[in-house]
Amino acid sequence: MNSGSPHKRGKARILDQRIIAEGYREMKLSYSSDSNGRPRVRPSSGQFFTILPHHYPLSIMRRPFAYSDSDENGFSFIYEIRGPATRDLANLDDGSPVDWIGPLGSTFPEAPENSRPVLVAGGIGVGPILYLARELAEAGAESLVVLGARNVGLVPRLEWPETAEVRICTDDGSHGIHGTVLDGLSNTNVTNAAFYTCGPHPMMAAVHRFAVDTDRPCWVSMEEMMACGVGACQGCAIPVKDEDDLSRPAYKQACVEGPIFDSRELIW
Amino acid sequence: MVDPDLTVAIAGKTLPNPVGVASGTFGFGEEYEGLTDTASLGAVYTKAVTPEPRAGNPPPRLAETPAGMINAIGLANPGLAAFLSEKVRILERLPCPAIVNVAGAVMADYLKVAEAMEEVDSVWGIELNVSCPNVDHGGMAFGTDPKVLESLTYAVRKVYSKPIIVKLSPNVTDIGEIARAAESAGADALSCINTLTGMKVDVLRRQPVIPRGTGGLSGPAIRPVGVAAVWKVSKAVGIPVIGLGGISSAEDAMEYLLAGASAIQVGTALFGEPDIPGRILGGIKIYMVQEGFSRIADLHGFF
Ligand SMILES: Cc1cc2nc3c(=O)[nH]c(=O)nc-3n(C[C@H](O)[C@H](O)[C@H](O)COP(=O)(O)OP(=O)(O)OC[C@H]3O[C@@H](n4cnc5c(N)ncnc54)[C@H](O)[C@@H]3O)c2cc1C
Ligand SMILES: Cc1cc2nc3c(=O)[nH]c(=O)nc-3n(C[C@H](O)[C@H](O)[C@H](O)COP(=O)(O)O)c2cc1C
Ligand code: FES
Repeated sequence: MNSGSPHKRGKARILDQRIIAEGYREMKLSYSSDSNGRPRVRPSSGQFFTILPHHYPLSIMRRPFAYSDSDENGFSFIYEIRGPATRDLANLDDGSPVDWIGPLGSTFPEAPENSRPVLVAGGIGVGPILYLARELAEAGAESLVVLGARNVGLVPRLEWPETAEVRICTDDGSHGIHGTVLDGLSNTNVTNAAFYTCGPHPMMAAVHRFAVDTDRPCWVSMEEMMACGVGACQGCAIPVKDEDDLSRPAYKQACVEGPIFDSRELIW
Repeated sequence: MVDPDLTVAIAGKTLPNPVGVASGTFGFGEEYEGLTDTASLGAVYTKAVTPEPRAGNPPPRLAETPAGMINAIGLANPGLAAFLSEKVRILERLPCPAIVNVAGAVMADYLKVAEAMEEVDSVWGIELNVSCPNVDHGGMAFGTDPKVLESLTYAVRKVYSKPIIVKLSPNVTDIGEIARAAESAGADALSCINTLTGMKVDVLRRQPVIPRGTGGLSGPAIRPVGVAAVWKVSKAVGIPVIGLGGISSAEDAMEYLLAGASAIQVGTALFGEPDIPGRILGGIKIYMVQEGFSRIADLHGFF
């Protein structure tokens, strides 16, 4: 049973959670101290875990979330209250147990040498991007972070590492740059940029096109409905280009082949 | 009291215990490594295998519904050639029996896969998927007409000598009649049920959540339908019945066994708790010991 597989199922307890924007929370958890406490390997940025819904099995599907931080004692994530499972999370008291499986999926790859990581996030994509910025800072690398939100109320209040230059863009101009993340990228020298993006699909598509136009690499974090999270159910299909036969659809599994993909692999 | 005998006999072969994992929810047996112990399983039923690779349906393929979920995977699988070159060696290493789920669009597809399985020693038996609601051709059509099912089962019987399990659809008027057709054509066991046809509508988009409209409903929501189907089928035939549909606890499994099932499969509940089969088996054992049963077959016939 204890094999080469990196993931496992375990229990954690909620340390605390705080509101970081309208409808958004950051939750911190600590691994339980018993034998099924800690993960086998430390989760990296881009990876995710799934939690058993509070009302399982009435709510039958585990819910995936990306890590926003992790150390040997526990992990954090940022979530938006969207439906029943996240509403339940928001109502849980500190100390409540959470049943997790992780770490799952692929990680953000390292940027090519001499390139500058440009991290672009919106909505629920901010968690994994924050974790990536933290990892880059730990490694001594500088980064540019561009965050998009509809208005000031949705701008996440977070502590970014000092080595990250953070630009905030709001659609209505109520905070930071007036416009989308693309406006946040204008007037930036991107000749050596390596793009990393996570957030709403249209935003990631725009960043992908920008990266293609400027001939720079781009990695995206894809969201798709998941049941197993380990490659068993074929539920989490992401349409990709089939290099051998462009006329037929081809799919990759977001849970094991992703969630991080080279944006040029995907059909947008 | 001695330990109860948990083995299940099908066509002269035995499964070590009655708790298997259902087709399409356990991949080809290796995906849950580190999350569950395959040595405690009665059998692994693989994802459907078709002669050619199938990419499957466009996303989204999944939706949650009350106490259940809808899937429209579309039999995505690597095809027979890749199964033989890549998946068989995984099955060889499994510490429990591997049963290959066979699907197709026309009868020749089933025969092609069944013929190939005849040559693979590590395959304990096959399960004919004549009940998939998520493909345009074949799939459920074979499982809804007793005549068609009879000729399909008969043809497969001629090319396959090991156990043949026919997986029945609940989307029929008289499941007993279908069950008898499969039995008379030489099936060694029947499994029921596959998913029920279901639909979820996104009211703001005014579109079905699943692009093709309908999908297969599974999970606790369908358990009463599955238990009733097993009860009817076990009264209609003499061959063993394998019950599934919404099992997520030992008590759920006991409902099926008491209704006439000789074995069970766990599907959707694996997504939530990958190690649940072992705990279900433990619960069945405790029930049998406490209630004084020594064999699974003794659980039948109370109603
Ligand atoms: C790899 C990955 C990473 C994610 N990371 C984050 C994150 O860091 N923060 C965050 O807030 N959200 C994240 N999500 C989305 C998160 O899973 C959903 O917001 C959550 O499941 C909603 O559950 P609910 O019951 O509150 O809402 P529901 O009403 O059940 O669902 C609302 C929406 O959430 C999504 N969703 C629901 N169930 C699933 C599921 N089983 N698998 C995938 N998506 C689902 C669907 O888009 C659905 O329309 C991630 C999703 C994926 C696939
Ligand atoms: C994601 C998914 C994929 C499935 N794929 C198959 C398949 O390939 N072949 C098959 O015979 N049944 C398939 N099924 C049906 C299950 O094996 C089972 O019959 C059904 O889900 C009811 O059991 P459950 O409620 O325990 O899941 C699939 C079910 C799910 C949820
Ligand atoms: S969620 Fe099951 S294969 Fe990806």
